[in-house]
Amino acid sequence: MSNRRNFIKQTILSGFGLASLNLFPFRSFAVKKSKYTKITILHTNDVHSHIEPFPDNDPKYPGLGGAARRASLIQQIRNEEENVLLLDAGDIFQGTPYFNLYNGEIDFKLMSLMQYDAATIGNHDFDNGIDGLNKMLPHAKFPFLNVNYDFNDTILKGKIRQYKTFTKNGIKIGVFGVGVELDGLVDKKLYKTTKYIDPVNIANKIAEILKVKAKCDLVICLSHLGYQYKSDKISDLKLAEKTKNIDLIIGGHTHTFLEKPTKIRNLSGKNTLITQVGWAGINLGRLDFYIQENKNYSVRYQNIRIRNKSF
Amino acid sequence: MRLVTKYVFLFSIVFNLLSCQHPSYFKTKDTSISLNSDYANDPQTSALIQPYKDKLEAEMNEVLVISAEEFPAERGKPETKLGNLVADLSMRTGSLIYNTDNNHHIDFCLLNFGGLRTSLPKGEITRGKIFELMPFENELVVVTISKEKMRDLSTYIRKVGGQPISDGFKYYSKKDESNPKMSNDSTYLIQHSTNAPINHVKVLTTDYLANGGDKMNFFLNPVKSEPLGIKLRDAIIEYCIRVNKANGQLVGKLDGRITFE
Repeated sequence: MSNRRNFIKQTILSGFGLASLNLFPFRSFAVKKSKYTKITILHTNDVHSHIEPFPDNDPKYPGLGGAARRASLIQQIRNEEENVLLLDAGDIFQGTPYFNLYNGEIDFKLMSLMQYDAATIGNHDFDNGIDGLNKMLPHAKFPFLNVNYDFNDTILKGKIRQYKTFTKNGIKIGVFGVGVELDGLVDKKLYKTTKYIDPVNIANKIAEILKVKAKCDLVICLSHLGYQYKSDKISDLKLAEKTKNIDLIIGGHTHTFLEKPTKIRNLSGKNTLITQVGWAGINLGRLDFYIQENKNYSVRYQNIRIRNKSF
Repeated sequence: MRLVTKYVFLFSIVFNLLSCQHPSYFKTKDTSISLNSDYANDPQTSALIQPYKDKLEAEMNEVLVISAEEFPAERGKPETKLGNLVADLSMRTGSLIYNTDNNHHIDFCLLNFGGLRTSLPKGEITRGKIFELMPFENELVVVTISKEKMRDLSTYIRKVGGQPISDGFKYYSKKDESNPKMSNDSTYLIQHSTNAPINHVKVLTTDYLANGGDKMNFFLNPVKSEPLGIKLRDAIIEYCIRVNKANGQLVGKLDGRITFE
C-alpha cells in the first residue's frame, strides 16, 4: 500500500502535435531524463473493420482513417519512443464488407502487424457468434483481456485472459478488460452460455491485484462499457467513481470523440482518467505518462486525427 | 524525419490534478495531424491489405442484376418504388421460409425508409451497391401482434406518413374534416386473411424494428417473435440473383398501397 501513501501527482501537460515535439525537442527533455521514464500509450476503439479510409466524398469523415496510415503513424511513434503500449478497447469487428467477407481475419492480422499489445472484447466481436470469434483468435498475436465475461462453459474457456502485465524500462503496467452487458444487445444465440458479471466488483478486485500485489505503477482498464448513459447503466464514468487503483480507462462502445481525457475522482480520492477516440480508426489516441522516480506522474494527451492529405 | 507531419490544430491541456490548493489551469485546442500522402501508407500494411482488397472489390463489383429504372431513396412519401421493391421481395423470401403450412402465413411486411440507405441506379446493380443500400446486419423476423397493436401500427403509419410495406397490405386513410388532427377514418386491410377469426396479425420486419426501432413501439412485447435466420441484405442479394437468372430486370411499381386523402 506504499504507493497509496505517496500522493500521486497527476498533471496533464500540454498535448503537442508530433511536429511540436520538435519545437520542444527531445534534448530538452533529455536534460531531465534521469528523473522521468516516459511511457507512451497508444489506443483505438470501435475500429469496426474500417480497413480502408472513408471515401473522399463521405459526408462526415471524408478521407479519414485507414489501417495502412495508422500503421505508418504508429511506426513513426515507435521510432521516436522507447516505451510504447498499443491497446484497443473492442468492437474490432463489423462495419464494412471486409468483415462480411473475411470475418475478422484481416482485422486481427493487421493489428498483429501493428504489434498491438492487447485488446478487449466488444459486443460486435460476437457478431459471428462466439464460434466466429474463436475461429479468428489464431490470427491475433496479442491477448484479449476481459474480467467480467465468464467463458467457462464456452468454447473460449481458457482463451481470454483477465489481465496482462508489461514491464517497460522498469515501469510495470497492468492492463485488464471489461465488457458491456450482452443481454438485449447481442443475440443470445451468438454469445451462447457466456455469463455477464457486474463489472464494478471484479474490476476493483483485479485493479487491486495489479496495483497492490503485482505492484504495477500504472493500471489500465480497457473498457467496452461505454462512456456515459442517461440511464443507470454502468459506464466508464460510473466505473471510475466506484473503483480505485485504476489510473486510466480506455473506453469504447459509445463512439465518443472525447476532446480531452475526463478526470474522475475515484473511490480513494485519486484521479482516474477516461479516454475514448470515437470510432472507425479516425483517431489514434496517445497518452504519454512521465513517471518520476517516486512514481508520481504527469500525463500528456494527444488526439491524432488520421488524414490522407496534408493541408 | 521520414514522415512529414503537419498539424492543424493543437490540442493542449495543462491542468494540475494534484490538489485543490494549487490553482489548476487548462488550455484546450484541438489536435490534428495529417500524414503526407507520400508516406501515409505503411508499405507492409498495404501489402497485407492488397489481396484482401482485390478479392473484396471483385466480389463487390459483381453485377447481380440489371435495373430497368432508378429507385430513388426518398422520404416523406406514402410509398416509394424502392420501399415497395424491398418490402415485396422480403415478403416473398420470408414467406418461402415461413409459410410451411397454410395456418402459418405472414400477413404483410413492414420496413422503414430510414433503413434503405441509398438509391439504386438504373442499369447494373452490384453486390457493393446492395451493401450500400443495406449496410446493417438486420435479420428478418416474423412478429405476431394483437389486433390492438395493429391499430397502433395503423396510427403510426398515418402519423409518419408512410413506410415501406408489402403488397399484402392496403392502407387507406382519410382525414376527418371535423377533426383533421385526429382522423378516425383510417382503415387497413390484409389481403391474405384466412377464414379463421383474426385475433393476431403476423408481420414480417427486421429485428431492429421488432425491437422498437424507428419508434415502432407496437412491435414491443409481441404475442410471438420468430427470427427467420436470414439477413435483409442477403434476402435482397438473393432476390437480385434470382431475377437475373430468370432473365428479368428490377422493375419498380407504385400501386397506391398506402393512400392518404
